[in-house]
Amino acid sequence: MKLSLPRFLVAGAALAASASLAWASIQRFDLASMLQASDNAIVGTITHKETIRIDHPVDGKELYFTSLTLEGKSLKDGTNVTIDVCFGGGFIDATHGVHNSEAPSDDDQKLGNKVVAFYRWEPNMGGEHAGNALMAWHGGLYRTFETRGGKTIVQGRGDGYAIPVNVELGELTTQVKALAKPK
Amino acid sequence: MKLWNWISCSAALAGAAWVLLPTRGEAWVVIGTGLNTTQRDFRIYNNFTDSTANDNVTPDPNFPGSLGAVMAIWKACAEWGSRLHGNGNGDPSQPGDIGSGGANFDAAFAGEANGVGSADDNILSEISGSSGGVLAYTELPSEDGWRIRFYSTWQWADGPGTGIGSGTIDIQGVTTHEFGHALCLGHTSVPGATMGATIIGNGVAMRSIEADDIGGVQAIYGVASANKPVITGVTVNGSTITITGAHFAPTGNEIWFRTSGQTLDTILNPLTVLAGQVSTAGGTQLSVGTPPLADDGDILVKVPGLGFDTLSNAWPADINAGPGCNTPGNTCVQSPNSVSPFGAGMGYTGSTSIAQNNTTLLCYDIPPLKLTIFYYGRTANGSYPFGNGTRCIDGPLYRLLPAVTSDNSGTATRVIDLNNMPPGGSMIPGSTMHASAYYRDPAAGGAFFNTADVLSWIWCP
Repeated sequence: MKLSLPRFLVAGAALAASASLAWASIQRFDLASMLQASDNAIVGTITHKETIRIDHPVDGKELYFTSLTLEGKSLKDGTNVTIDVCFGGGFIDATHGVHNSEAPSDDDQKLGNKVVAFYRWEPNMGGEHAGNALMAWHGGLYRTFETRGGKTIVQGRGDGYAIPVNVELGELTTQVKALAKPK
Repeated sequence: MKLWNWISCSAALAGAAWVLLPTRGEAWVVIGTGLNTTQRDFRIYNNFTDSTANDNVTPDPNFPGSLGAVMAIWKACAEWGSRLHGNGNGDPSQPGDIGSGGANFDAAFAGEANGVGSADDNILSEISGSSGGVLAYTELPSEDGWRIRFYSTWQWADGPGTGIGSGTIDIQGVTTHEFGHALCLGHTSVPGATMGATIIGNGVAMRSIEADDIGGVQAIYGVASANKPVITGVTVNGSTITITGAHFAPTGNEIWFRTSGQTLDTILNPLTVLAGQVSTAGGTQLSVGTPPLADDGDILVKVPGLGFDTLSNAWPADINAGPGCNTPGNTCVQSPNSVSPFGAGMGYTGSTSIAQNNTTLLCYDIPPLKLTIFYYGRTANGSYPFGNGTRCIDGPLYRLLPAVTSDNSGTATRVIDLNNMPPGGSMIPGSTMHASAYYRDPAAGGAFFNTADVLSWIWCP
């Protein structure tokens, strides 16, 4: 997608609004603390989406988890990555599922979206469901768009998020590599 | 939950996003149409695992009959109420100010549930594990019910003071935020608002709702109507409860009470309701006998009609004489059996009141149609091999005979009749009881029997 300047500004305004919609009871992060808490940061495309239901004897019935398959590259070292990242909530069909207050918005989860994602392995996300948790769920997924000049912009989410403001992908990659570099 | 409900929520969110853009003073976001008066109940399944989540053992007259996490959650939900909850006291961070919503919205404390329930059962509980920086979440849409979960990876604290301890997260503050989701509010961009952004500090600052949050709840439910029924006082005289206030209907009033004990998590209405009540003194007074299943908690009055403004504010009432009854808690270990890798657990219905004498013990997750014997003791400090499991209750042991048989779902029940206890095993107010059950389990091999964990409590008057 290529955006003209006016569309870019509208997108920025919408971004500011969506940031306020998405906040909830999640940990506060900046890029450094997010990288410290994560296993990896990647830029990639959402190629598959699946929701499962777990009924657990202790954690309860109707535990829904959605996984997104991302195909892309690590921002840390450029290696190719294909990985499933997971968060709470989602719908198996029209009548079975829940929306979770911390989940990424439906628009953010669409197949074909090019996104930046942070994740880490969690042995139990509830109901003994193990997987690569999308960090802070909606707070670990950032959409991108391309400018008319061909630059890829990563959409920031506002104060308290790892990527607070829009940033060019190359610049973000540089920041990630610098922060991820062993001290 | 229906997908179209979620789609309509998303549409509301999208619309609200544009509403947000030009406004600076009010940034609340609406994500639903509001909870009608059949969805105002909330319950707690008190499975918090941190000791700091249940170490407040100081009773509060504004939150009678509750302690620990239950009291903290009750305070949080009461903060969204239309007017002061009792005299408004109970939270050092907002003295005299619990009950700040000013809208046609009040929540009904329905006590404790015996499980986490489904996604629509309006229950708050802990969930095991962690998930990359998520503290707690609410399952939506809420018009047909909701559920709130707290990740166990965090160390939860019940207050009630504002200094909750290093490294802990405030149950009350986070609940205030999550309950805002349940009543159909999204997130705001106004700094300092309870419904805003990421967690503020350890969450204590989120206990008190702010102007923007109040604007949001009033936008959904309307500013508290002049005709909304109002409770201004409750007096208990023996077994008679007198409710004073205004705008009660001449006939057809419902009076809502907390139900004693743990209610089944899947029950349709966990409240105890007295229907068809006639008011006196020009709609300013209601007098009723105390319902047998009612317990210390809030009282609300519902007048006929469907509107948001047909339900009164919530007023605390200590309806049981003497100190409040405490909530039984589970201890000991659950030993795996042939039907559950987690083993059998103990639960109960009814209350822990000697006078009410209405306690029923449950033992669940045992093999179906097997002989089961409930037993109890006065202390439970041990760890004794017992069948295929572990018994924690010390001797002397008292058996509640006759034995019972588990049902097809693997649950056994046994009524405690305090007037017919085993020799030497009588209970009086202040007595401690540790109860469990042992059951036949031939399919497991070994000793062919096993025992459940332990349910412990102190009997109240």
